[in-house]
Amino acid sequence: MARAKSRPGKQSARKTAGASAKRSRGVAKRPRPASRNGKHPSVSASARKTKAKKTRPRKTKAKKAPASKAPAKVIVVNMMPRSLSGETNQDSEPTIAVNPANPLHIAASAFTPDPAGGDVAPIYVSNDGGMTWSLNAIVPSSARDGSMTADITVSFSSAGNRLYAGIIRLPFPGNKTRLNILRAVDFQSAATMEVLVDRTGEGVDQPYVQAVTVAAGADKGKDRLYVGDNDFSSPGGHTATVDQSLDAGKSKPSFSSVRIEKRTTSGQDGPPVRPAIHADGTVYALFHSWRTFNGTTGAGVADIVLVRDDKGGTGSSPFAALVDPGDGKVGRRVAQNVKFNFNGFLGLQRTGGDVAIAVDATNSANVYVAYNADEGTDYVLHLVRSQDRGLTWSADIRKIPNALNPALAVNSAGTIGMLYQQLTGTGAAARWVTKFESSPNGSSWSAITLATVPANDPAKQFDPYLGDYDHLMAVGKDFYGIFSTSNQPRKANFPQGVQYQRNANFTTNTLLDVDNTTPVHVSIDPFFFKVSG
Amino acid sequence: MAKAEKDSPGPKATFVFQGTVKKLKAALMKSVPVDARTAIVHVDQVLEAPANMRHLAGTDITVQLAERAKAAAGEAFVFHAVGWIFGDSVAVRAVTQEPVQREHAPLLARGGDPVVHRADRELKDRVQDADLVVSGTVVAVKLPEGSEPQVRATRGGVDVAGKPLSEHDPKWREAIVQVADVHKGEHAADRVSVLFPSSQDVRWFKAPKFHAGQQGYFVLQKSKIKESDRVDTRTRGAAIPAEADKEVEVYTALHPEDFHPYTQPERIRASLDTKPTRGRER
Repeated sequence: MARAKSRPGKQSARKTAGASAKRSRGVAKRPRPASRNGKHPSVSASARKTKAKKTRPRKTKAKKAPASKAPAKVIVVNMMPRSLSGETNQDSEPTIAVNPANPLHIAASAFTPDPAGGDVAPIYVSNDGGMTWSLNAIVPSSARDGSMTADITVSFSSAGNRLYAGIIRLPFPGNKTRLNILRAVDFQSAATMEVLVDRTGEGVDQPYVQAVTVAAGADKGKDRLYVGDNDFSSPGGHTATVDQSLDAGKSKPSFSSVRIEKRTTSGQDGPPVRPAIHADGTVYALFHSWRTFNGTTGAGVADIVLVRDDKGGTGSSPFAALVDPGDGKVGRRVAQNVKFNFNGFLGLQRTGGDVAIAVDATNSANVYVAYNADEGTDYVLHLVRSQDRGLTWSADIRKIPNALNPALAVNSAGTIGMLYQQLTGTGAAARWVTKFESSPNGSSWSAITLATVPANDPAKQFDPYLGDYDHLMAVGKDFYGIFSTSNQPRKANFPQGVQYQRNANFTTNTLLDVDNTTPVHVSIDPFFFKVSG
Repeated sequence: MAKAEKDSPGPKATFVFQGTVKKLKAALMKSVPVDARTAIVHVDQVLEAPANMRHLAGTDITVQLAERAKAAAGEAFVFHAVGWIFGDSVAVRAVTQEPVQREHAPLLARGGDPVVHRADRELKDRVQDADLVVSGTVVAVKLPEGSEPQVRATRGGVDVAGKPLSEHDPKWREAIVQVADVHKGEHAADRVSVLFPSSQDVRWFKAPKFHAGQQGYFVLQKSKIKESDRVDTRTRGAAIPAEADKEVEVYTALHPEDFHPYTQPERIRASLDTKPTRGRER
């Protein structure tokens, strides 16, 4: 914690009570969606300057999108629906799932409670490619425990429209976190998601789902589901785990727990275990392998370890294909002796080990890994690349100080995209800046600022403030992403433009309740974005 | 830690309102699948609601009518509903719906804030489920016994954590409450120990965070917990002894309604049916 004091923007939470009273109470007519910030929502600043391209979002499948050298089109949408204009929850830690079979269908998740306070939690649903969103309360939860989850991620199968989710389900006993793996045949229906796995044991943390439908061969049509999680029931402190099902779409799918940690740990691994799937059957999984950990200070040292399976996890020894040349053990150490602090903070956001992975859709040998390290007083984001299936690794191809929540994806043209959130400035001038960077080759990069907001307003309600992760994915040439940040309605906060569904006045910089009159405090909301390739 | 989930015939309604059916087989949002039970309903009066839904009086919403319930356009009902889809408009699912009759008159004439009515009903449920309700003063907050930092064990030159740790660790603390009155349950001792999570993690942030000097009403649940789960994982030292698997009985406060300060006694007093069994009620 002491470490965090010297970081930019490190401040104690300050109260926001009464803040709205200082704001203008001027009432603006609710603007039409397309002009709610005075700009067309689907056009980036650069694109607007050129006036050369259509301003309407494409509804065609991404693979049909024409190649273009024009500036990328950027859409940013605040996902909170109008009927919830009065809400002030901290809707952090988002993930997104675009249905590859129909990219107009998108599901998303965050720490959003059931607005009705029932025994379910909601997912975010869009059926128009992310332009509008509603909440569908279909995730099992508990009203007495807050009508939400303690972790949630979502992923569509690549065919068949099935949505999968991995959640920490509430309630759970003491500190023994409860894993649920869920499935919805129709993510827009009213049916509560079906529970495929319900397991507690010694506790399971941070389930991260990725799904694919096998396109050819004997298993054609089967959904393969990989859930990276930190399973404390695993003996010997080898807690990094992939829970996998090789036919998750069938009525009663079976799952197996693959323990992917093969080295001596400090007693456990870190929370993030991230699978990445390629259509050719290659599956990678990246994790934060704890070498040392001090429970009193929270300080530790970890290796960033990558495992791989070349047959979708179907063999007798799954995820054993990648051996480290240094010690001959399964799991390539992409980076070693990476310092972290499980009690650390960057601004109001807790730290403790961020990792992300993406595999190139055009070539499964190309794989990108992002991770964070405590370096002096900075929390440094590193991006590295392998072009030989994870065996050897580049030096940093990007290195960004005080940035976290990396999310990676590679589109069908081989362009790498990276989403992250960086803390800039200090004190009252500190800001959370959410950026999307992309590169066709890993050397020349273009950056888009999606949001830049005050780092200390709103005050923190709970940890994590922004989330322990956000999410990025690619369908065809298009990148789809989601991040959580302050919803303060100010044009300058969203340089690419933004569309709000909830009532907001961008002239008075005020959120408004459903009556379009009563001011509402700023809070953390999820934002969808799309960068068209 | 939480009590076993009670058997329930179905979802518990969180939104109670009087409404008039305007149109059957119709919905106000495209994202709502329409079938024979889908209806557009005018909300005449909100009776109990979460804060996000208090504003719905006087508006039209979409309702999935309760199973086997018959309804026609123009008919008025008292709906007991749960949330469903929240978009430009709101859709709810009726758990039950009752044609408005004379016996509903007191409910419909009750007035007041529907959000407060719902909160009060939930508090009554919470008190009813409680094993012990006391009033008193927090005289100390400490780490649970066995949590004191110790010299960490090592293996092969590296630290060996006593037990795996997640970001959802509750970071248990123990509040010692000097009991003034017992309002529900039996407790002979002058003090009671209350286990609560000090963690600000998403799982635990709504639970009461006690500090010495706090005075009020404590709504406590009795739970069985393994000794090894009671101690603060982050401060535990060496390997866990075998007896750590022994279960102990503890009182917990995990819900925001599990503490009510003396300065705001009205709601908790209204939810308590009985007089205190000892001491003097404040």
